[in-house]
Amino acid sequence: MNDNNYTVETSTSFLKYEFYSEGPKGKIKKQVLFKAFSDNANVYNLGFGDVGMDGEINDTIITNNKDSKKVLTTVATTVLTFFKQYPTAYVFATGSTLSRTRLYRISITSNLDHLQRDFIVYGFLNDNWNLFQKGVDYAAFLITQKKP
Amino acid sequence: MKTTPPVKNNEFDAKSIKVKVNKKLDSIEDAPFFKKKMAKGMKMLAIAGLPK
Repeated sequence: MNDNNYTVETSTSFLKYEFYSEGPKGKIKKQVLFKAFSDNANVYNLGFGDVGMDGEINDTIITNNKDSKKVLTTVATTVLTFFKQYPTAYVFATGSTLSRTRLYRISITSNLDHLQRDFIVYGFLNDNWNLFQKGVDYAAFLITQKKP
Repeated sequence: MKTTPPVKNNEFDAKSIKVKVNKKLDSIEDAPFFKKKMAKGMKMLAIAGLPK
């Protein structure tokens, strides 16, 4: 186990993931879910958030557990694991709020060079998917593996 | 619990990432917030389709 990401558990389908954030606020359970669109079965929507007291995932909570970089890296590992199982799939991602979408954009931007070795990243702008470019304010993102 | 091989991709090449399979997670149900996200995604995909 390295210090850059948390240990992750996955369902047998590799569509549901769980890990614990650890910080000043204590241990907080996080879930990452991939759900296929009914009209586009090869496109999976990425959902991510805290698991509340009621056991339900909520993606609007601001945890502030001082480990956001480690959490985002861990979410990235779930995406990589997902693609190992679903190599031709597309992953759709958008934040629940504009600020969270911006956080996704910053995370993609800071890892773009590495990401682009194996993946194609698109951003949704003006009703079209465009190749992701740094500094552009996209409403959503679409990621797929490069064909061998 | 079985363990998948370490993920080896992009920036994570040098790191050993182990993901454990836990059958208990199979029973996680869809979260309510996901419906809104699915609707938003479906709308975008309906407009733009998939990249060529």
